[in-house]
Order: sequence, then structure tokens, then C-alpha cells
Amino acid sequence: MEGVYFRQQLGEGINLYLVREPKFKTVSMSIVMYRPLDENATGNALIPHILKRGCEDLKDTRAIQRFLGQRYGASLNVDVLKKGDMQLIFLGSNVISNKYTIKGEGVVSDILKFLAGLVERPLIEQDRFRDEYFVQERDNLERLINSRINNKIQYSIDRCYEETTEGQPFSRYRYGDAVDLSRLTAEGLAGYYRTVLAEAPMDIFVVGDVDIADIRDFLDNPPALGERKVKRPEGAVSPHWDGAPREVVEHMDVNQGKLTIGYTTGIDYTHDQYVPLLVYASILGGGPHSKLFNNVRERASLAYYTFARLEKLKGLMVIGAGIEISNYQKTIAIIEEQLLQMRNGKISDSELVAAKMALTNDLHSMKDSQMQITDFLINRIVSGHDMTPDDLIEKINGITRDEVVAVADGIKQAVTYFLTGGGKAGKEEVK
Amino acid sequence: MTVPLEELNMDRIREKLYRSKLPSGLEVFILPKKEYSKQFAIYTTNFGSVDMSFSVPGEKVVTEVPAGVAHFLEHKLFEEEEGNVFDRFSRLGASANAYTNFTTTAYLFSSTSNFYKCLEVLLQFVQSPHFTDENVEKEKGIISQEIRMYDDNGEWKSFFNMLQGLYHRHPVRVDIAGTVESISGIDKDVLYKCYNNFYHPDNMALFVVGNVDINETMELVEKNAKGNLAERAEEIKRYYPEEPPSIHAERIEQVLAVSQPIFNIGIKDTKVGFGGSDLLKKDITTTILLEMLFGKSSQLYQRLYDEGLIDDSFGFDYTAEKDYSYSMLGGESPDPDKLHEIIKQAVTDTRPEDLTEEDFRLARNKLLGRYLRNFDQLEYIASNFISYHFKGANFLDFMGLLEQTDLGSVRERFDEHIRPWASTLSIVSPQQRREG
Repeated sequence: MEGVYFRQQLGEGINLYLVREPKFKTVSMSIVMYRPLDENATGNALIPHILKRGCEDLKDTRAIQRFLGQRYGASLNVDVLKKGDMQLIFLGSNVISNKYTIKGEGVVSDILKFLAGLVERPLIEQDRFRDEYFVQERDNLERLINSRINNKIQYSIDRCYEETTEGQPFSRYRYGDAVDLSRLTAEGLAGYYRTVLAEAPMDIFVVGDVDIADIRDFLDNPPALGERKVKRPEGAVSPHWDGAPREVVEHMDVNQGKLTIGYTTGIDYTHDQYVPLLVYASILGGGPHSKLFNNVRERASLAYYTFARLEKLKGLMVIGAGIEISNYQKTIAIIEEQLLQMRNGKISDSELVAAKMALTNDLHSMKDSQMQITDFLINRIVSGHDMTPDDLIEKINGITRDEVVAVADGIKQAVTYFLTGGGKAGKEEVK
Repeated sequence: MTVPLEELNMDRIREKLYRSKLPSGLEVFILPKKEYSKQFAIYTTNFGSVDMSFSVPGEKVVTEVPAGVAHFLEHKLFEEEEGNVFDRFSRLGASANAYTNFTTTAYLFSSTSNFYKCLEVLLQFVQSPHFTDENVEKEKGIISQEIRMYDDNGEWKSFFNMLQGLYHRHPVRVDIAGTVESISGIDKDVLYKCYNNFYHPDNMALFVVGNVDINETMELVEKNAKGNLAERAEEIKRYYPEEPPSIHAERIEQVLAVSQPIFNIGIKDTKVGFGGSDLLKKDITTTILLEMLFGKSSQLYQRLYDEGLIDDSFGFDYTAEKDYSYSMLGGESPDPDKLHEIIKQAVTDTRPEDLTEEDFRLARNKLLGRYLRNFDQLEYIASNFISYHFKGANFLDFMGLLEQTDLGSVRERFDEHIRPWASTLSIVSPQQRREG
């Protein structure tokens, strides 16, 4: 694997990937556990938030924050990621490299051991998560689930995908749902977490200015997860939309309408039309060079933002635009015109070249970001593809117009989702 | 090369910065990072949304412009006689963008090939305005949608309402993009007036970082940067209304389609009116102070979190500008009024001597870590450097100043800025919570 200088199996289904990049002054570390996106989604979402509250070594937030503070304010981020049909429990930290500490003291290995400690030695007492942490984090997660309406653009994309994949695992919300949450108990979740520890494949990613010697201490004492019977979750491309496209309208008290149209493509990472699809989506709506940007925004002045975006693990595409509510039909007509042009091969040389260059620029730029390097590795593992960024760049450069047009035939419109408004809210001042 | 290049060594963090000033007054900074794939360039003018009243050097007349002009101008510079600038960057495979904030307008691109051609395009397009009645009108539709988009953004609204609560008159209380009404009054003459004044090289700076060659970059800049203009003898005069030290409103609430209240608490800093390294020092000292009071390792944070009044969305920040400064806390909370009361009480009960040496050291280390993280993100280091540059400070002095900062100065800052507690509570809530 290009860019991975070191990979070591640390235990049954536990791998460590080290990407040594001396240009970075900080080291990014992540621990990821892979689960199927199923009825346990809400529990999976809650787990990392409870783990971050304390472990046997550091029992509360203050102890953890002092530990991190003494290591130059190393960060601690926990989350759950939705990757196709999988849900990933994620714990990450970023700390300055040992080379930049005041006395040259080592901090990287400490942080790795700390992250592993959160996962490995959770505060489970008498077979239950500490009640206080369970209750607080459950309430926080409930608010997080409810707050999904706050970001209207993301909400409309999520809702559109949910409608497009109704009945499939992918239609589950990344953070689960409030009803499932209310059924979880501190005891039940601790039991489930034991299963996660026994079954979930675990990967550890380290990206930065790190030598093996810096993490030797960790490699010699890897996470001990007891007896494991690893179950690797599986994912699949979404089947093609069957039947006539559907329209879904949702009302909220908004000023701007969010138009979002979902499509199935049948093409995921491992499909031989994957790279042409990347180019297709880029020409259609991948930036200022795209048909949507130039026609919906620049020519018709209908929107400030408009895009086409892929859900690469599931072979889905979404088109979005923020518009004046009364311009709904007008915008749809212009979007359809762009899709028709794609299908009819009305793609100029400069559109094709610009799309390829934008995509290759993104891939080259990725190498400068620890987060994106980690994400690329995770996507490779989840999708099972084995392309390196440079393989992808080479393939993108070789794509012809005909190959792009061939993709258009397989793109099926599924759901038109419109988040639309009502009256305007008021404002009050107290002096 | 004809202009001298000064080399600044930062041994401690293994970086070298090169700087130069052209006869036109344009300042150029280059931070080579050869191991990166990327190049990033940002061409900026010291002109932001708060600059609504000014005089051109040498003139006595005061020009007043409508809210949102700087941002409007940013949009319009992308337009050329033949198409738009995005196309030229697209053909070169680079990704271009721009932003306007309160004090600065910035044009930028990131590339992994064709860097010098891209830099040429960047310099050229920012120096070639092409405003017509028609293209100015066309932009109003796009910007109106941008304003509408922010109208639905609870965090943005909460933030701006807080500024309106803190400030009586200072234009920082006005939305950066203006309003649909204010931009309707913008025409090409206003844009040219602002352009000719603020886009003079003596009011601008260029920062280049990444995989670049210093000499080639400098030669290209000298050749392409507006050479026919000389640095103006006088500075641009900017007028801001006199701002009373008091706050304008204690509490502002707005209803929007959100799930739970979003809040901002603003604390007005009245020690303003200076830039330079004193401003950077004030910034560092106050940031350490906020970390000690509200950071995750503080008792107050722990208490608020345990009581369910804050969650992971909680954050805080200090903004230090020459003419205005404020501290800000924000996030989501089921009960912002209660939260505000507890914080106010806790802060006013704290004595300067309660701020301990140990907590001070922890906070200072955190800042050091955060500062170093800047250098791993080319965009961050560039925009932070430029932002301090226009305030007359050098971002690279940060580490030295941080090491000099002591607990005494943090306690003093607490006494003068936080402890008197002049705050605005801004809430965006799902429904009205309290009658005025």
C-alpha cells in the first residue's frame, strides 16, 4: 500500500498502519472498530462517548484532560462514522511530534496507549457502564440526534439518501434514533460492548513524523482484547431504483428551500466504471468548472451553492441546491437539462480536462492532510479496493468522453426531496 | 530579482520565512515547504465588512458605502470580460476561492501543478476589475441566496445577534454580506470607488506557502504585481463611530427551526485601540485565561457538563482586533439562561489568586500544541499570518511571546476583562422562552 511504510498485526483482527511523513509537526492517531450498520446503530453511536469519559487508568474527564494537557494539549475526538453499510466506532487524537517537545520527551506512545486504554479498560463495574456517564452521554446523544435538523443542507442530503435507500441498512441515520436510544441500559450496552470487543475488526492508524522507535513501547504491549472471534461486516452497492422517481416534500420554518435529488448509479469502488463515474460527477457538479455551477448559479442566478456528490461506497449520487422556494420547478428544469447534456455527450474538451484536473488535484492534496490520509485508508479497507492515490490519478487521466457518457445511461433518478418553508420567525431584544 | 528578500529563521520549529516589500507597497511572504505536494497562495487586501466609512489618501471627503460592499466586490472580481476566473483556474487544475470577513478580503488557490501559472492568474485577476451594470445586477440574485442560506443557520444567527448585543454602533454588528436591502443599493461606481482605494498594493499582502521556489516566485510577483503604482504617502483613513464601553443589549433571542437552543455569550473587551505585538500579547494572555476558566480541565466545565447544560458543542474563543475585541462562549444548551447565570456567578466568585500556576502551565502548553498544529495546515498558517499582519503583528512571534507570558499578566487580564462581566446572551431557540 503506497504511503504505508509499516503495517503490523498486533493481535487477532487488530492491525496497526503507520504512515511516516516527516513533513508533519503533529502526529494523528486513530483507533477504529468496524460494525455492521444494523439495529445496534444507536448503541454503537453511544459507546465512544461513554468510553471517552474515563477508563480504569484515568477515571474522569478532569484526569483525562490533565493527562492530555501535560502532553501539549493533545486532542481527543470520538465519533461514529457511517461508511456504506458499516458503522465505525472512532477514537482519535492529535499530538505534537516527539521532535518538537520542549525537552525532547516522548508523547506519541503515551497517547497511543491512552487511546487503547479507553477501548480496552472501560469503566465497567458490576457488568454495567458507570450510571452517571451512561445517563449523561445518552442524554447528549439524544440531543445530537434531534439536532440533525439544525444543519439544513446536511439534513436534506441525509433525508434524500434515506428515502432513496428505504428499507436498506444504509437508510439508518449515522447516530441511530431516539426510540432505540430510550431502550438502551447501562447493563445491556456494557454486555453489547463485550461483543464488540470480541468481534469487531480493529485498525490503528498513525500518521506523522514518527519512527518505529517512537511507538516501540506500544507495539510491545499491544491492546489485549482477550479471546476474539472476529466478524468482518460486509457492504454492498445499492440496487438500482425500481420504478418511477418519487417526490418528497418536508416543511420546516426556513427562509431558503433545499432541493436535493437522489440517484442510483450501480457503481461502487470495485466496479470497472468507478473512475468514469468520478469524472462524470465532477463535470456535472464537482466545483466551479461544473455544469451545475455554471448554469444553475452563474447563468440563472438561482443558487449560491449547487453540487453533485457521490456516496462512493453505495454507488449513490445526490444533486443539491439552495434556492428561493418559488424557483423549485425552474431549478429542476435546469438540472434536468444538464443531466440530458451529459447523456447526449455534450461535454466540451475543457469540461473534461477541468474535471480530471480537479480530481487529480484533490488526490495529490490529500497527501498533505493526516485526516484525509487516514480516511483514504479506511475507505480502502471498507470497500476492499486496492488502488493507491497514484493509481487513481493515472486512471483518471486516461478516461475518455465516451467512457463518461457510458456512465450516464446507468444513472437513475430515485427521489426528489424538497425542504421547504413557512412563515418567518421573530427576534426579540432585551435592553 | 531587484527587491531584497529578508530571511526569518524559526529554528525551534524548523521553518524559514522570506519576506519582501515591492516599491508599490505590496508585501510578499513566502514559506517554502518542499515536502508538501501542495502550493497555496493567498492575496489579500486590508478591506473588510467594517470598512464602511473612509477617505482616500490625500482627500478630505468621507465616503460612506452600503453594508456588504467588501463581500460584493469579492464576488465580482471573479468576473472577467470573457467569462469567469474560475474557468482559468479549472483549466490549470487548481482550486480557487475567496472570502471576506470583518477586516479582510482574501483571494486564494491551492494547486499541485502549474503553480506559477496559477499565481500569475491570481495576481492578474485581482488587479483587473470588470464591473458592469449588468454583471452587478446579476450577482444580487446569487448573494441574496447566500444571505438566505445564512438566515437559516442557527449558529451564524446566534453569533451575529450576540455582536448586535455587544455593540451599539460599531459596524462589526452588521452582517458581513449585508442584507438583501443593503446590497440592492450597490452599483458599479461604489465598487470602483472601493476597489481603487483598498486594492492599492500598499494596502495588500501576498502569502505563499508549500512546494515552491523562492526566487521563481519572487520574480513572477515582481513581473505581474501592479508595478505602475507607487506606495501612497498617506494611509487610508477609516472612520468608526464612537463605541461606548457598555453593552447594547443583555439578552437577545430569536426563534428558528432548530432542535434545542443555540447560544453565544459575548464579553466585551474595552481595552482596545492598539495593534502590533501588544495586541498579539493581549490575544495570547486572554486565550490562556479563557482556557483556564472554561477549558475542559476546568472545574466549571466539568460542572456544566455534569449538569447537562453543555455538551461537546461547547467552545470559546477570543477575538482581538485593533478597534474591537471580545471573548465569546458558545454551543448548544437546553437552558442557556441558567447556564449564563451559573457562569456569571462562578466567574464573579473567582479571585485572581484562584488562578493557579499549575493550571496556567497546562493552558500555555495547550496553546503551544495548537500553534504547532497550524503549520500542518497550509491554509491555516497562511490566513492566520495575514490576519495578524494587517493588525501590525507577526504571527511567528507567537511562540516567543507565549513563553514570556506569566501568570501575573493572566490574572491582570482576568481583573480587567472577565471579572467585571459585561456580557450579552444570545439565544436561537425552537420557540420563545421568555417574554421581554
